[in-house]
Amino acid sequence: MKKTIIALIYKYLDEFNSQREIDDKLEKSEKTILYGQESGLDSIGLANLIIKVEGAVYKTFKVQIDMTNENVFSLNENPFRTVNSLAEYIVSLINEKKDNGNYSSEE
Amino acid sequence: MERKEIVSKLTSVFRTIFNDNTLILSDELTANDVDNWDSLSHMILITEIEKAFSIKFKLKDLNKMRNVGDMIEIIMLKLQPV
Amino acid sequence: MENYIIRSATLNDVDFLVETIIEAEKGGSDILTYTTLFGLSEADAKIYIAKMLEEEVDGCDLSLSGFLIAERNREPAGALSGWIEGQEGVSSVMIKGNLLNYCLPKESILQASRLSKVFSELSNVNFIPGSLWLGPVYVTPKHRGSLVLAMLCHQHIKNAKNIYPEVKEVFCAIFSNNMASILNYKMLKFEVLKEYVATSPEVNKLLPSNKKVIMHKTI
Repeated sequence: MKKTIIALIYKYLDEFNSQREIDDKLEKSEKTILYGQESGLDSIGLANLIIKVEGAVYKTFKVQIDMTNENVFSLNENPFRTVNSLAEYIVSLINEKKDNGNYSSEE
Repeated sequence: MERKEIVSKLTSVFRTIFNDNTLILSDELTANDVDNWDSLSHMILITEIEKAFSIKFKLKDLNKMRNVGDMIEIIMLKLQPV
Repeated sequence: MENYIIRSATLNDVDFLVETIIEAEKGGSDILTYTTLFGLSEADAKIYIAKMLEEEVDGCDLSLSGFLIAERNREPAGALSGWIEGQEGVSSVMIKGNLLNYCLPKESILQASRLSKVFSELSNVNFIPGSLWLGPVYVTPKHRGSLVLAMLCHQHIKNAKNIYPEVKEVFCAIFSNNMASILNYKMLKFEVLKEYVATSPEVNKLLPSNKKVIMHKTI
């Protein structure tokens, strides 16, 4: 599941990069930083990433997740920090839905 | 000034500000009831009311005005001889 | 998360709140309505906005008490205004209009009076009593891309529900050129409820955009 999710995130990065100059493109790597000043994503870029990846997760896994629910801001670790941490966070959200009986499709 | 007179004068001010000659005031009338009554038009409304009645409201008076009825009461108080 | 704390604004924050209101008014453009409508320089506008905040009136988007501030390492990162419509028994439109009337110079009021007819189509926002409204928002450039607006929004909703458990809806009104705010609210599951459009070509000299969207979410 995590590999599929990383691929969805990379798909968004492709879209993002298509509108950027060479020096401003984000690397498609699990270590790529997505959050904060060190990231190449601004407010619009990060919001778009979250919206589009949530949409892609729904299309792929038939599960509606809410990455920016209020609970995420109480976490000690920031799940938005890198591609890897975001993918792991999304896996946890999908599994949570699965445990609550809201998962209706195989991956 | 009698209440009737105040209402008449106030109606004239409201009709000019909101460009509506059919506007009828009631004690319960608030911003939600009148088209184009936003913070800018309210700001202008208060200026025109002060001019029309030759009075000056204090901020604490203004913030007691929940509706036109309260507005009329406060104007009456302001017009009472000291 | 990431050591951001969210707290209520105090009188010590007036300077940052003035910056918030000015930048929120511009909404990413160069147009400041305190200048275009009221004829004030930006420097003078700051003085008058501070004066309005310092009146400490509750219940509108110029209420100091309504602002939450996001802070990191004791440095302000962003601020967002919020209020429960009609909480004081008076509509926010009237409270804000009272503040503008009381604090701004008369010549500014007269100028705005002449010019405001140009965008009357944007004036019919229906502020539903008992609902939470989010107002001016600003995140400093250094902290953009850090979900600061999301943290502030969540805290406003939490606070509102603590004090008024019957609050069911949250709204915001945003000029349509302000893509950062619109996208961030969309990310937070707000939907566009209504769009207001001013048709006069003069509007674009006075306001950041001729379109305003109302966004909404059930809470």
